[in-house]
Amino acid sequence: MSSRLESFRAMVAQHPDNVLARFGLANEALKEGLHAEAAEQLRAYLAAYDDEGNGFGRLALALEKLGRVDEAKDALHAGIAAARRFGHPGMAAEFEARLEELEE
Amino acid sequence: MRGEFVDVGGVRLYYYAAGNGGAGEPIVFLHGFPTSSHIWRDVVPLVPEGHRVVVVDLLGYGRSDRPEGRELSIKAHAERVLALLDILRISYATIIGHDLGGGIAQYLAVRHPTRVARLGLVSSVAFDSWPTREVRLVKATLPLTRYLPAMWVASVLRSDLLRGYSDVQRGGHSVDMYILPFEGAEGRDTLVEHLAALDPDETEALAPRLKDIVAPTAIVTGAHDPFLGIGVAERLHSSIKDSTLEVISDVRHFVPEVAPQRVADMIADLVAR
Repeated sequence: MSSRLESFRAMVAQHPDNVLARFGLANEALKEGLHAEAAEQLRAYLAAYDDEGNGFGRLALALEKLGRVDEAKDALHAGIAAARRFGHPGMAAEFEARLEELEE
Repeated sequence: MRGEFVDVGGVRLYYYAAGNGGAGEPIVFLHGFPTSSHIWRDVVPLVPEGHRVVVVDLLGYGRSDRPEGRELSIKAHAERVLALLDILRISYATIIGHDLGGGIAQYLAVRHPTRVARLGLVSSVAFDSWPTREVRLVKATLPLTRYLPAMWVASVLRSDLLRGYSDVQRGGHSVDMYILPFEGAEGRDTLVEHLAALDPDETEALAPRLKDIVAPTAIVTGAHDPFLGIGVAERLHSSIKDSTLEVISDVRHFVPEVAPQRVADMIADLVAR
């Protein structure tokens, strides 16, 4: 267990409203293969933060690893919409390609 | 290495790609003032395998277009880098910045935290500690600089940059390359545009937000940097949670050129965090 993971867990426990700490924790959890924890933190982050797209992409990744393909597709759809809204067409295209792979 | 020009919002930015991709997040290198992607040439081959590598010439530097009146603030550079990453379909990357590029990297980590997987700051500008007294003096006399002989302006820039190398002979070759886009009347005008845009208020405004950076961060500086000093790196280290700090002895400002292996080692440690 990495010290960064523990550090972010402590930060989130102390400041549950700190959404970026939740994003940081989710990334550390992903690195450790703790996909359920990553998905939970990313959902909390996305509920409170106007994400530009990549947060949804990270959530899709975690859900895909958990075998929750339909939820991963939903996350990618939301990511595509957010990326387009924030003017990131390349990111939207990347998510569309991932979506196609999941639908094959 | 494969280089190409990309249209980003009506200007052509040059970048070159290296590495063979892989499972690791891409690594993006940003140079500072007034250098170019050339500064990373000895670091890039030493980067750990398994990462796509992108090395950028910012607008008005290296092979990228001249600014011709377009905004050159840290924010503007950062937003163009973000647009370039969008075009390259890079949604999440390790950002490594030297000098002004470090300021751009800080901006990305603070304003676009979900795009920055890791952050590497090499002899980075920060807070209100830059530019140097000499550059501030030149900025103060900018209306005059525009009417000075282009060759004289280039020679002043050259001798100032050489202070950033402990081995002046070695540094001379690089400096000649860096000042090439600023020779001649057109080049002098480009340089004036860059100088006018150097604004420590931008990094000072980021200072209170540095504590919110969630990306693993590594800071590297030369022990004898005449432009920024160790204090800047130490303050960055104390401002960014869980960051690491390495001070490289016997090195001045242009760390990526003089100590490429040390920078590559920092990157290897960083991408493993």
